[in-house]
Order: sequence, then C-alpha cells, then structure tokens
Amino acid sequence: MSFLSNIFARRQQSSSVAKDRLQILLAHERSAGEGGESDLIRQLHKEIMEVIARHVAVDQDKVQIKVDRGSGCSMLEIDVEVPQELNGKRGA
Amino acid sequence: MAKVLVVTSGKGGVGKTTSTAALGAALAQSGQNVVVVDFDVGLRNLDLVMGAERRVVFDLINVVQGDARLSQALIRDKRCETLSILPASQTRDKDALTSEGVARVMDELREKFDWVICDSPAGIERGAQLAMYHADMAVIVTNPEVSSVRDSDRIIGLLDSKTKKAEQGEKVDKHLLLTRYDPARAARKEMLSVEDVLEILSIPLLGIVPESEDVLKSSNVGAPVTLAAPASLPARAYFEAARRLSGEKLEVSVPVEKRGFFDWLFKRDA
Ligand SMILES: Nc1ncnc2c1ncn2[C@@H]1O[C@H](COP(=O)(O)OP(=O)(O)O)[C@@H](O)[C@H]1O
Ligand SMILES: [Mg+2]
Repeated sequence: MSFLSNIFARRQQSSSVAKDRLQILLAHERSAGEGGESDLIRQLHKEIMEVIARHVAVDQDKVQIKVDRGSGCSMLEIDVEVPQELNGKRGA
Repeated sequence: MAKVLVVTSGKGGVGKTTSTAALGAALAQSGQNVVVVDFDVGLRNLDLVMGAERRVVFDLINVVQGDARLSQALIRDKRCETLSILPASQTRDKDALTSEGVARVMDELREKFDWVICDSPAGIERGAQLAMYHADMAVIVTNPEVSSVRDSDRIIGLLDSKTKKAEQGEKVDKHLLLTRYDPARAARKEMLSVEDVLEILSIPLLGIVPESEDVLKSSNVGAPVTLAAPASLPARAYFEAARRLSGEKLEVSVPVEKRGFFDWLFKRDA
C-alpha cells in the first residue's frame, strides 16, 4: 500500500464498516422475505417454550431471547429463568 | 416521573433518527434510563443508527399484538447500559399499530424508563400522529430551508391539536432543534438564519447541530454521535440539548470549531 492510499485508507474505515454491516443485514433480510426469519425464530421460541412448560411453570417475563446475526451463522440464545421451586427440590 | 418525548419534523431526511439516537445516548450517559422507540414501521432505521440491527428479534408491533413481552423486544445497548431500543417492524403493515396497543406499550415504558424517546416517521399521517400522541414534550427537527420550516409549522399545528395533551386541554412542551446547520453558508446568507427560523416558528430553541461528517461516520459504525464522537461539534450540541431537556438553563450558541494549527493538521482521523 502506498503512502497516499494509506492516508485514504484511514478515511475509508467507517464506510467499510458500513458496507460490512449492510451486507450482513441485507443478506438476512433478503433471505427472510416477508417476516420469514423472524417467523422461524418465533416458531422455535414457541415450540421450545411448549416443551419447557410441560415440565416447569415459567413466567414469560423471565424468558429472554437473543439473536446475533453473523455473516456465516447466527446465534440464537434462549434464556429461561427456572423457578425457585425446582431449584429447591434439587437442593433439599 | 417519566417523560415521553417525540422527535418529529414532517419532512424526511432532516435528522430525526440521528437526533433520537444522539439525544437518547446523551441522556443515558447522564445516568438516566432511556429507551428510544422506532415508530417508522416498514422503514426502520433506528436499529442501524444505534448498531443493534443484528440483534433485533421482536419489535413494537409484536409487543402491541401480544406476540412478545416488552422485556423480550427491548434491546439493551452494548456500550451504555442505561440505553435501550425498541425496534419498529420491518415487514408488517403499519395498520397493525392500534391506538390501544400503543397506549398500553407507552404506559409500560413509562414505568420502566425515565425517558421514552419516540422517533417519528416522516409525514403528517397516522404513523406520525401515533408517534406524537402520548408525548409530553416534542423536539421539532428542522433544517434551515424553506420546505423543512413549512413542514415543521404543520407538525407544530398537529402537536397542538392531535395529541393526548391537546385533547386534555394541555400543551405539549415544544422545542426547536435546528440541524444540518452550515455556519459558512449561513454567513454567506445562503441559508435561513437561526433568527429567521425562530421568528417564523416561534418556539424555543433547543440547539443548533452543525452539518458534520462525524454524524455520517457514526452512523457508518452504528453508534449515536454522542457515543462514537463525544467531543465532536454535533455531539457537543446534542449533549447541551439533552441538558436543556433535563431542565438546565444554558445559553444556545452557534457551534463553531475552535481549532489550533495542530488540531487542524491531525484532523484526518477516521
Ligand atoms: N448534522 C448532520 N450532519 C451531517 N449529516 C447529517 C446530520 N444530521 C443528519 N444527517 C444525515 O442526514 C440523513 C438523514 O438523517 P436521518 O436522521 O435519517 O433523518 P430522518 O430520520 O429525519 O429521515 C442521514 O444520512 C444522516 O446521516
Ligand atoms: Mg428517520
């Protein structure tokens, strides 16, 4: 890289971040179509919750769902706070 | 008591989303609990400007329709823990936002936060009216040019007639935020002056945010300018505006760069 392009490379830094972010976002939005990807997440969430509900009573407010969309893969994280009752039985 | 603030303008592209993010992050950095709410259904952008686009699961419409709990739709900012975002839906129809549903969500947000900042869609139709309906305060984002000022005047009219406060015979507390202000063009009298705009709209001035590449760079990297470049001129204008919103009496100044030779020499950072 020449001296000049070095100077300009620093200027371009934020725009190349912007491009990367857009490419990841748009890839997900295009493949998702009309609500597709979020519908999948919603479906997964619903069915996972149904399975859990068969065993313990969970407060919906104590369930956190997190997604982190990447370029290669995405992370889906479902955090369920299991009620005291169950912990108690185990501990006693 | 929680404050509901709408950031509105009528005209698009004047800086509502930028200002929502910047003011939200400025208030949150002062330790107050802040949520920024995207009302731009179908054209959400606040998530991008805030850098939360990869983490959106549920949105305002999901909460309004009862498909998700509010706590599940809120995304907490990774850099500032007192700042959260409630995204708009990208795919659903804006008619899915019922007035009753929005009212319920706003009540719940008031309980959780000190500031609820609503980023309005452009226009004067239903979407913009839903965004402003519950507001206690309004920031009217205006650029110093004729069509923006005209649209701001329309919006001020709506704030005085189509809000809950107006229906109750009260007033929404209105503030003018002049953005994309170019001091050089103003000096050459190519732009409406601050005084001109204030005289025409006659609402108090909250701040003057200069046109700046720091705003663009911040949105490129997905951070409010008050987080990404807190020392920059636009960020300083937003920090001061946030203090005024919190009730401080501060003189509004026209932002000008006071730079020495060395600052100028090293100003080429990204
Ligand atoms: N002070 C500013 N200096 C330079 N560009 C700005 C400034 N404020 C906003 N912009 C740019 O103007 C465009 C529109 O801003 P945005 O906040 O999305 O407006 P709105 O939400 O009103 O449509 C964006 O590209 C944004 O980066
Ligand atoms: Mg916008």
